[in-house]
Amino acid sequence: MSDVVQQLVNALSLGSIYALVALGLAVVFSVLGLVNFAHAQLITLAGYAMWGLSGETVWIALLAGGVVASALGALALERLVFVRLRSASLAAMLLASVAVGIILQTAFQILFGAEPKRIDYPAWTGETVNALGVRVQLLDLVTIVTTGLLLAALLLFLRRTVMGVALRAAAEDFSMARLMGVRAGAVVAAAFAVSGVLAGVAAFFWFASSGIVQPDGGTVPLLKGFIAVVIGGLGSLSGAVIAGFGLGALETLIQAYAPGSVTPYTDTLVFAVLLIVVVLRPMGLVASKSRAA
Amino acid sequence: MGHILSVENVTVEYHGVPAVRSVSMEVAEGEFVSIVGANGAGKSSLLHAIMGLVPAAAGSVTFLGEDVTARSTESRVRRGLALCPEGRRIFGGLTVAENLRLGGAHCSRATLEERLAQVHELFPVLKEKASAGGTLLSGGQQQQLAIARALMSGPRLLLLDEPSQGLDPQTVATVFESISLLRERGYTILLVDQNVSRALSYAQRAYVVAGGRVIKQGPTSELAASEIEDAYLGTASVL
Repeated sequence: MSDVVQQLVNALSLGSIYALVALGLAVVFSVLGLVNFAHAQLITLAGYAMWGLSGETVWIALLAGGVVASALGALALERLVFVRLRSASLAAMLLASVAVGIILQTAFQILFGAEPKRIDYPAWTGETVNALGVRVQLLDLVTIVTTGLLLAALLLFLRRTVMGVALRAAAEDFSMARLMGVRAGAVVAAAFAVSGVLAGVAAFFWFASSGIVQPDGGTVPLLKGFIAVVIGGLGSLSGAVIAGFGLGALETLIQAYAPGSVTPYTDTLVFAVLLIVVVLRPMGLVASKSRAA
Repeated sequence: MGHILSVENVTVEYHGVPAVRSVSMEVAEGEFVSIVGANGAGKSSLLHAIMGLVPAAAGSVTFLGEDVTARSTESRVRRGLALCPEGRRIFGGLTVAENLRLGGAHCSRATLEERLAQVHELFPVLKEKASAGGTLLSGGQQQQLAIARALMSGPRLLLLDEPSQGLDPQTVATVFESISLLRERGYTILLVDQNVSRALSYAQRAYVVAGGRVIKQGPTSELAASEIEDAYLGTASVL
């Protein structure tokens, strides 16, 4: 029983990070129709910001530093790169996002070196606590609770604020939203800002498990987030979250219960699931209302 | 009467193929003007060019004395142009109330509430179904929502693109009763409709479009429906 609870916490914790990354990708995709592969570098940027703040004992400050860095990074990406490609083809935007990602990763390597940098996480991230009679990592619990709160806040933003409603409308029909007087630039900037915040929070919890950041540190979470976005249905926000948690659960299940000879192939199995979903449901598990999807 | 909208020699092209060819037209304050023409004549493209949804390859659009040709769609909406588009394009993921509030999102809160009360008075069903999903309404109710949503921005000129499309005759009659009500309340309206006799019966003036060009124009009292139908059934070259 305790093992089941333990694995459930692991699954929810890993799923939380994947859901945050997937949601960040989905928010931008829903508005622009762009899969922003440079999202990986936003996660890495947050990691380096936290490394820069290392020694900071107030964990909220460490988290806030990472979030501010990736949110500003996302806004800069939008202003410096994607705004110029607004009328370009989707292929051009996609290539630009890959190109910017490579440039940023190289820049990280030049600026900070290829070797991993240690982020000085507060001591509690390595502690365990007794929950429901089971000893679990405190970090996992905080990851789950923070993600839950962030998702609730995002839901409130999307439902209760003018910009949130405009974002939902633009995701469904961008030109109709503009016919409502919604400023295209503001909506796109809001989408990137939300995406950046999500990348920053995801970065805090992702790098906490290893405690290090390196130039390609955001690549693995980006890949997992992208898989979740495709499984969930491109452009579907709820689909991204559901698939993110599903992916976390699948990986945890394989790691915990599959024979030892299978566990090295976790990623292979995840890609197999992705292939099955793409073949059976090309539009993903949750159909998007977006015209872009 | 001064013109609030002047379209001068506007050309619209899609991948180099012209859909609207050097069209000029005007709408005066308080007028009800119709654009009629067959399917593919360029009517909707012309409205899209007026709203800035497609760029004008040539010509200019002047609204309230200002050249808005280079302005964005949202900027034109904020200046008082509103389009109720073909096919309604209601946001299905938004409730009726959210659809309406989005239409007036750029206004002050007091103005928004005032306009909401006005459209609720015009279309009471939208108040009753405020929390329903936008696309869960019937076709006629969705058309009312589309018109009300356009009115929320407080337009000086309302463009209606095929408001009867896809509706049964009884619902069309209801929709046109609503449009008639708007006319009585002094809204300036530019209507695009394939149904010539209906479009002419409501308007004071009309433009007949064929092959992307204006082939006839004038007060509706001087334009006979049968003559217009003949005109856009392939005899545009004669004119």
